[in-house]
Amino acid sequence: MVRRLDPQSLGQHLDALYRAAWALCGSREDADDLVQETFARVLARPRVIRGDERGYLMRALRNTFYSRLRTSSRRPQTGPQLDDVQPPDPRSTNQPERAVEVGEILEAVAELPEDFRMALVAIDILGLSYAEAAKALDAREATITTRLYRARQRIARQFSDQPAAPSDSREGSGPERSLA
Amino acid sequence: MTEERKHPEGELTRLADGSLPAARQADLLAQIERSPEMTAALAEQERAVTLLRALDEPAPAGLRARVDELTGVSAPRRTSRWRRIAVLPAATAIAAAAAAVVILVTGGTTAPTVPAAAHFALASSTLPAPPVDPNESEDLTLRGAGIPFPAWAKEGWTTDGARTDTVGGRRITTVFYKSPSGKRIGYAITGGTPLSGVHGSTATRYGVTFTMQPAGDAKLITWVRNGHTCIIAGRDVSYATLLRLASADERAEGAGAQARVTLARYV
Repeated sequence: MVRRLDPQSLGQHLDALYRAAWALCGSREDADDLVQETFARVLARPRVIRGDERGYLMRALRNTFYSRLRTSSRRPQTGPQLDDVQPPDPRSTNQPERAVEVGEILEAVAELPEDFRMALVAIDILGLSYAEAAKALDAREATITTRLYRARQRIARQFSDQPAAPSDSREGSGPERSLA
Repeated sequence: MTEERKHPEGELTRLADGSLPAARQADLLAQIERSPEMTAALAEQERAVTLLRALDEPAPAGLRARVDELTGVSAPRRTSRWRRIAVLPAATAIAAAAAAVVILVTGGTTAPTVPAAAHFALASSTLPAPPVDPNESEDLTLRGAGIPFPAWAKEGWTTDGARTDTVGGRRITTVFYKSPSGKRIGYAITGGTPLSGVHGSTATRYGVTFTMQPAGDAKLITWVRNGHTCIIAGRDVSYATLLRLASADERAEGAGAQARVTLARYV
């Protein structure tokens, strides 16, 4: 169904989009900037969308993320200035154990190979269906499912009490242990 | 044959998060029962789903304010009013829930809602901690609606008291547990048909759907076992921890039994 995007309905997706952005960037501060820029781009002009709003936002978030990566790779690298350092979020410092847990998990997701990370962010963090994720990521549903399987496998092993399996050391999106 | 059926990890992925069509579950569960490797792979998928879907970090207030401006939601008076409501002290929210419970206890015959029943899971104990069942080390001697409460010593939580209450003709039995660091949770079982007022994101483990929802400054996990509503609630405890405990209880109840029940339904 084609319809006009209602800006006022987008706020309901903010929390999920922020977690998704954190999982993409690996940092709370960068996630904050990425989400704001994503909303600014989406709302810069009237939009017509097909399908789910959250899937549309996932595509916008991904495009903005890549755009920022390209821009930052062209920009001279400098160390953080004092003004760049933001005070910690008071809600999280009141619950230090929780803050560490959330941060550790999202930063581990940010370390995943890109294809795995995008599939996991779309489905397990943003809550898209497999079909919506496939559309948002321009991939086949079966491909998304396989990437998600591998991504979850790595996250589960990273936060497991069990010793890591040898395949954990592999990088990239090549095959790992298969059940087929 | 579909691509996913040639590669069972695709179906395991979907089984772990509850999105695998029911028609495919029986075959897959039968395969899993025969394969320790698939059993381990499913457990990994479920562990990741639990970790990831329990994340509840909200966007920072500053970001929300900036986005509200962008979306045009931030008509100043309305925003500030809602903000004030949003930051009402947690004590006020709890007091409101307690008041609702008092109304139910003193006069009503209506079944409690989940938030009202959860009040007891966050209250003080009135009975001593029940001992471990000498015949079943995974359970305590106390039961709620015929369901034994779990002994979570292996999970690092020891019993810290209990209480029983009756609301709207429903018996609510609660056991309290504490962690070595002093955190406290309550596990309440409400007899009778499943309660209303369940809202939140869900995670599926061992074929059971767990719902995560906030209540004031507390977090709740609810699910239904044997037709009765189970609630685990705590403050300063993550959803991931609550889910781990709730699903440990279901695992102890018998993942194999669950698989067999599901199989029997579809075969």
